[in-house]
Amino acid sequence: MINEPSSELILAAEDFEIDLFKRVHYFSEYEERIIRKLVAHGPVLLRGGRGSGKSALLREAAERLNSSSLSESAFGVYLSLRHLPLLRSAGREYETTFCRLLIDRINQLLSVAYEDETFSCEPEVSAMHSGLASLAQRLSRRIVLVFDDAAHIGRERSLVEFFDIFRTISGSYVSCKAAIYPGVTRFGRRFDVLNDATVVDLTRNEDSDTFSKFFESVAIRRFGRRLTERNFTRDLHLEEAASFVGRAVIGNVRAFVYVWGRLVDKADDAHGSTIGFPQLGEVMISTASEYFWPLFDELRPKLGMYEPLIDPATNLATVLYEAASKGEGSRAVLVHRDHVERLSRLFEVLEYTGFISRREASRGMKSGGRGTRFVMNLCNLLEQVRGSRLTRDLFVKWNNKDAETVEIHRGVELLQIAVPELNESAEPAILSMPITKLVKSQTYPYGLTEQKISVLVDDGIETIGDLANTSDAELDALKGIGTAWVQRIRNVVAQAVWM
Amino acid sequence: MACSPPDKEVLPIPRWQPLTKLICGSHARHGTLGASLGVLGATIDNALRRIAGERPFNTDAKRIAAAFYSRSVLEASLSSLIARTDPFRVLIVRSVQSQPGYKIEIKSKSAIEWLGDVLPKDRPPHDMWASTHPADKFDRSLLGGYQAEVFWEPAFQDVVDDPVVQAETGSDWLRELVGYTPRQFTTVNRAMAKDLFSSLSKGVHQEFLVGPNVMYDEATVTQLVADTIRLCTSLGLISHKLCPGIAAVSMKTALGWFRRTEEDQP
Repeated sequence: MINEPSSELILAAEDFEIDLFKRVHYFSEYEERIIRKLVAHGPVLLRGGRGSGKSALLREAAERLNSSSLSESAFGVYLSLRHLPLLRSAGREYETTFCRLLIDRINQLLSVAYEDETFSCEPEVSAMHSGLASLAQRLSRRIVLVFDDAAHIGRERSLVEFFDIFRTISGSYVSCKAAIYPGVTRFGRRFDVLNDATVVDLTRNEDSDTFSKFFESVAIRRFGRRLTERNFTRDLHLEEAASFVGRAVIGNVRAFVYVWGRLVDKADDAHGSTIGFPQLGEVMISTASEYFWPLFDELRPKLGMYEPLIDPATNLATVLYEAASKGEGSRAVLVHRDHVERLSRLFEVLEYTGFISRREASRGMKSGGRGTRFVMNLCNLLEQVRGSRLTRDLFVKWNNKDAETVEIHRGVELLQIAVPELNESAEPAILSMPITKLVKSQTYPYGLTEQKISVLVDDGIETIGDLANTSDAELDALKGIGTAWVQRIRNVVAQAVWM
Repeated sequence: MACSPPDKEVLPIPRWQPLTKLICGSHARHGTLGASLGVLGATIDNALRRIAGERPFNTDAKRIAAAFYSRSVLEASLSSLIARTDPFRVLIVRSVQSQPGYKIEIKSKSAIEWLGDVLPKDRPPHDMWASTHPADKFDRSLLGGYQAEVFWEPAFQDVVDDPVVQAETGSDWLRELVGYTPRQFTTVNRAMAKDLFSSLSKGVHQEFLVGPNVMYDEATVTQLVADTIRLCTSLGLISHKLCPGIAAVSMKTALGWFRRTEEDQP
């Protein structure tokens, strides 16, 4: 028997049961504005790094479409595209698989809200387009299709088909919304991203009034009152700690949950001692080494043709952080656009992983020329600071809205980073890796035990691809694996393949 | 290429809303042109107040009205910006309308047209600046490719580089705006203007064959109104760095109106 995953452990919004989802998720004014765009008619692409909270917003939008007053005029369909056949297919095969998934999902939702309605059509895009228009008229509701996990970097093959479908089935009565990651730039010949959709970038403003409240609410909802004001020293209050941690992880919710969880553990271990700047700094340093840097190794086998970018991206991160650490209290770098253009894919990998977050796309530099400004995550930056200690002075400097931005001109260090050739036909290696890769660890908190791995291997399930292809019923039938473990296996495979 | 506002700011009518002031700037010092901007400003302001009066948009009638007034805001704002980038165009219209023989029931061929004056009729040619192009080939539409390169993109860069703007860190709208490259800014705004004009026109032209409560439901109309205000606010801010500098105010003043507009949104 395994325990229900606690809200601290769960990594993705899709993994929550609806009641728990509503309890632990909080949406500030900033997120509410995004949700309004998602529930209104019109095509939207929601772009954000890993763990930024895209799925939570999409899921909330779909829930509201079907359960609030919005349901009087709209019908929402949330569909996660985490399906292995989609990852492996292209062209007509992708289209057919996609349409079948969508038809099934629509019927699932219709059976709940509209007992007498069913939806059927050929699993083909133009038939879907007219079928959905007809459904909208029968229901007297506009239809909003919400596609999660639609587009990842490294999975370019499926993107062309997806965006063709997105564009074709959008219409007067049907609007499509999708989550995409930074670095997704191939949209196919027919989809013009600036004209065919509104792109909403999910980047929380650490200087806005709602930022503190948002992260304080996330902390309370996820961890209850396990950390209170009493756990902090007199010169570090809970609210400012929550806000600072949010800033430290550049507004990334998943990273915030990780850091705050480590603070909770520290408080539990402290036997009455309180959390101050030294303790917060220790957690930030361990987050850099145990969460952020290992992301590169976790991502490597998932990136397909972009796998060769990991090593140069790691080098780029090192150069950027070393540069940022030279400024007095700086937490941002302004990189000359020649570098940004040449190393664009590497910058996108760093944005995807939460090492950096893009701010001004084109800003004048003191020495002439223009550059792009990026803010850095403070966990990795603290590693570079002399002594790697978080002092009150550094805390204040990093909270300063007028903090200096370090400029990186056409210098030598970045010129030494080469961008490797990419193999367009490379598949993500993750699917052919052995399931022993998924053993419970810091990378895979949902991971498998040695005993469960033995059970699977004995049944001939040797690779992660094999495991992903095994149905729930087949897993459930294995001795030693029951319903709870089936779900856990699904979660760890989802993390390994999709996140 | 930076263009500075004049030394003495003549600020617009105090009772106007911040967005109206942002669009029309210090129009009063521009004589006849200023008077035209005054008329357009009154239209914008009146429409904004009507929109506020219709909230919440929880009936068909309110939603149709909100969409109608939003389209007024959009058209009048963009006409005001035409006045500030191509004053001759607007002064022609004013002069025609001032003639004794002018009749409102007859369509005026010189009137400001959405297609042609705001949006380009055609895409610019591949070789935009070839010396073989005659003068009338250089499209003058406000959001077209030529004005984008000559006016809007340099102005956008000047705004991003302005120390006042860089010091303003609390605005989500500004944060999103400066995340664009200059080319993305003009492309996105052109596309948005086109979509909004079309979407907001549905109610005006009574195009709904399915009930308006479906396509113009509260969520959609609320978003259309928000997008209209957002588009006009973004263009309004950048307009104060446009090279002609007509009715421009300091970036500090313009940014103050920008922030007030953002804060006033429900």
